[in-house]
Amino acid sequence: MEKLLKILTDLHPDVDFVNEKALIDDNIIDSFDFMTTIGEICNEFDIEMPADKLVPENFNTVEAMYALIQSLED
Amino acid sequence: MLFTTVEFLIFLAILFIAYYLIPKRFKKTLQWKLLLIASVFFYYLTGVGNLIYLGITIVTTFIGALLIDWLNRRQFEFISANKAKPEDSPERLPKDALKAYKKVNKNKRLWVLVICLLLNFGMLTFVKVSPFAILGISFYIFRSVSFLIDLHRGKFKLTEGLNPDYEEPKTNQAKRDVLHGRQFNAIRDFLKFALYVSFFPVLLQGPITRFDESGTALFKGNCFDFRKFSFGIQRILWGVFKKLVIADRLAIALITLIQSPEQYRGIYALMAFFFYAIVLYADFTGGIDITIGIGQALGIPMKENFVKPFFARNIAEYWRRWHITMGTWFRDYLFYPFSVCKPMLKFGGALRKRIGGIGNNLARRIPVHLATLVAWFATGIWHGISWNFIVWGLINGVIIVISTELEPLYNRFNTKFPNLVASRFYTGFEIFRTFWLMNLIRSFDLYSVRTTVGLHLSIFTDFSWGQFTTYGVSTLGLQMEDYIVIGAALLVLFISAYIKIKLLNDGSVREWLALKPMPFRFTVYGVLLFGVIIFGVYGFGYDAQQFIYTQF
Repeated sequence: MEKLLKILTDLHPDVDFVNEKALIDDNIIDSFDFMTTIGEICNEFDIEMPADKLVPENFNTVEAMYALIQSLED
Repeated sequence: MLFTTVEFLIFLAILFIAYYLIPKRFKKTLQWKLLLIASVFFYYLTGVGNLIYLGITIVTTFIGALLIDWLNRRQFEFISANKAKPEDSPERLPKDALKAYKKVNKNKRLWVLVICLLLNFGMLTFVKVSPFAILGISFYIFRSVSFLIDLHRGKFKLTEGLNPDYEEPKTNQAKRDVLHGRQFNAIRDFLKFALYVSFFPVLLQGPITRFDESGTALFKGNCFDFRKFSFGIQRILWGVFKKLVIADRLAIALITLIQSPEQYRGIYALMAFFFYAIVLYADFTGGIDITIGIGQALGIPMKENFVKPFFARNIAEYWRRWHITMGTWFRDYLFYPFSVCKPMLKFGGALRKRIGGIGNNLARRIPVHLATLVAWFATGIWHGISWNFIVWGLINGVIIVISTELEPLYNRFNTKFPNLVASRFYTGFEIFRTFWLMNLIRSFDLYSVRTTVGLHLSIFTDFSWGQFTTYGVSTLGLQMEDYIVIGAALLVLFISAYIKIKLLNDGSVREWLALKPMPFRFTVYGVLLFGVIIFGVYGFGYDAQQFIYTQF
């Protein structure tokens, strides 16, 4: 979780990832940032990201992202 | 049968009456069937041959959906049966074997999807390169393909739409049932699926609706709601006003201009680009107003396809406001999956290793830029398989990539001149800049690449007011009165936008109007209605103009 938060805040220092609950739905992260972030996550965690996981529910909060990463690491 | 003909008006009136006359207890079972009959009839009138293409799309995607669903169920049953066996039973498959089984099944599902996509996009390509036009084909193919991909991705929210009695699952078992298709029975209804794909208001020019967004309402049985109905009718009237009073009238001058690019250069080229912006806006948003209005009158909500596109402050924002459902389609089904496909992730990883350090940021962005260009290339091809559309798509992509790369520069400028950036003047400048930039890009719709570039150059090399004062605008097939009518109608649009933005804070103008005293309200309706009847372009001597976007 720490690692994920670090990646995210490195990429977007201006976003409050801890408290934000609708990162995608509220357009805080646009589609370009969304994709660069995913590229970074995949690279850092050494995972693949199936296209069907790219839904707002999986990326609206840091917790959701972390849960997704864990399920993909298994 | 065009949306703006008397025949269509009669068709709509009969449909509305029949739709709401169905007794309450039959609404759920009969209303959607009526809509299906109306949709098939509507499309039949565009040409019997067209029905064959529509039929192929519906049948192939439906069979694909059944197969994917069947594979899903089989896997679920197999795994549950395996789980039910005692832990020490030799028949129980170990975890690895189960994983392998899942993989084989997944590949099978992927194959079904790929074959369906190849079939439909193959047909679309064939139609695009052949000389004959099949109205609306890309819209219904996109709609059915989105359904199939969503199903393949396991986006089972779809059930809500497929099964009108669907309820959000409460127990874990119920959730698993939904996930594995137990509640998915309604998809087996071929005719319901056929209606979703062929629903006549969205059939010819979108919006490209998604099943989970407006599918439910098609089958739920709608009772007459005067407010919704009257709002729907008002929206239809608004759309007809834009189309008949502005688009079709100004189109006469536009067609004259673009038919003789060698004659109409310099200032006239500038005029053609500007006219095209107005015509396309009034034509396309007018058509979508009619579509959404019909939906509203029938109790079937649809997603908006435009949100004040000409107020965008940059190109990327423009595309979030213009033809939204097309943009999100390419985003969800091409840009996203392409960005995360294995080769692209590998490519990103390799770039990081190569140019790490300072270049690391760039290594992160390059794959996404590449995906952006691919998505825009495809968007160009979608509009037409010819060079001008390819260039059109790529220019959009390149500008978006460049402006993303220049963002740090913009940010520095913004922090250096905060007062200027916050000023109205600067906002106005940005809006104007985007508007003109889009006019330039859009001009590739109209001519070949060579002619477009030549005309742009002519604005600088061949510009003379003399040309304009000698010939004026009356040689373009329109009289001064026509321009006054168009100007007045545009003023009506501006007033409506002003009320919406300034007075209502982006609220609904129709709701605002509904609260006004009756005389005022009816004057407004009257102005629009008689505006259409008196100043609309229709009747003898005029060919009703097909909506521009139906050709894509």
